[in-house]
Amino acid sequence: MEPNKFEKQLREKLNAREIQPSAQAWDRLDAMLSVAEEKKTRKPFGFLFIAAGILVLVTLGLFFFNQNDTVISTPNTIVGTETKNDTLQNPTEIRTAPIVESQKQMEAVASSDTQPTTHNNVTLSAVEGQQKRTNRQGVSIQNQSPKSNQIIRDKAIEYQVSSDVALKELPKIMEPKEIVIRKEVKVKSDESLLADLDHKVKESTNKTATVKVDARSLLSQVDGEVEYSFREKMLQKINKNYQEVKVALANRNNE
Amino acid sequence: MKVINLHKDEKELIELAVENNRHAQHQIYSKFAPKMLSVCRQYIKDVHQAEDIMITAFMKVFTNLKNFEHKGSFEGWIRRIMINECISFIRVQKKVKFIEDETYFEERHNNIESQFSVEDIQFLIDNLPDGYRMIFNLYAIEGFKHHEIATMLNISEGTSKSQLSHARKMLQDHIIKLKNYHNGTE
Repeated sequence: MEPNKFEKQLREKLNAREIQPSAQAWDRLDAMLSVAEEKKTRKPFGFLFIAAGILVLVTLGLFFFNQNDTVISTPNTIVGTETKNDTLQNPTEIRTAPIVESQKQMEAVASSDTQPTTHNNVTLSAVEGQQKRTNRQGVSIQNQSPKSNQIIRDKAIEYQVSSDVALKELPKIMEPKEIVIRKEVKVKSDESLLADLDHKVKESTNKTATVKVDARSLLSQVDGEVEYSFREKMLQKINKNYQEVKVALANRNNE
Repeated sequence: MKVINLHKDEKELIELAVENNRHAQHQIYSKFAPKMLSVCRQYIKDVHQAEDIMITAFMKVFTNLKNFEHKGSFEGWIRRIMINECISFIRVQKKVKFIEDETYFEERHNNIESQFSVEDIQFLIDNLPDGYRMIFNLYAIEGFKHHEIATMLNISEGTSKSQLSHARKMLQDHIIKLKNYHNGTE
């Protein structure tokens, strides 16, 4: 079973034989090697990139969560301003009524202290005057109507009010004062609103001014970007030339 | 002195190639590629396919170069990688399976004295089936023992022996045919 002479001859001849591979063979191997190298070098960077990507995502997520909170808080402020408006509007409504009442009180004081004689009338009219608002409306109408009836009815209303809220007369006197204060507040609020608006306008103008100051840095940034693109172009050119030289060298070596 | 220098050069070249020095890699490639393509050609009929396999094998050589321990010859190490690549190609791509058979042919010791050209030899080997060719190459050309071939191809030693005897018989038949053909033309 030993290799015979023929097989020896085969071995010698085949071992001495050389087949020149094609010129593209090395180029292909070179490409494969460079791909393998890139993979090797990219692997650690790839992990870094993944880690960096996750970090960026997390930070972005946190940032957006915080932003959402602020977004929610802004409607609250809007609601607050609305309530303020309400509070401003309500006093005016209240004002009109108490003023009428106070006027009525003044009239009542002026007209007579002898009115208690008409108590029955008062009690009778009190039944009617249980609905205060309707009576008040009636007051405004009665102002135009003959005075005698008007006075009686007015008094009736006053007594109603005084009898219903006898002890509340003091607060009623206080109410106008409050209204005055509120009026002042209102005036002040108008002024302050205007002032606030002025301030805001000034601030906004100031802000725009500060933004304009950054023009130089912007210019420098743009310059930096231009330089970067220029560098990239140069690197690409160098790479191209290098590749050409490489190919030429490889071809020469193969020849 | 020259031999030592050459050896030193080879060691330096290998060290440079391990560090992915493309110039050193190219030097190694251009030094061994022609011989290795010849080796691959023994196993694979198609030259282009043989070249493809040589390239992938060289790729393995360069990626595993750091594992080379400078104990045996560098060429032998590369050659072994080439052969393994060829075997795995034949077994995977061509789906060559060895049937377990222990039948042997009588050895006809008619030693062929006549000289053949390399082309003729290649032609004779090419005409063997893939399995026969593989075992004949491993045994007769590379000088592996049957038990080595058995472990390499994951077959039994008997199968290796029987395959070799089949291959030899077929080869001898082909030689006779070739001789007749040559005699006819002469």
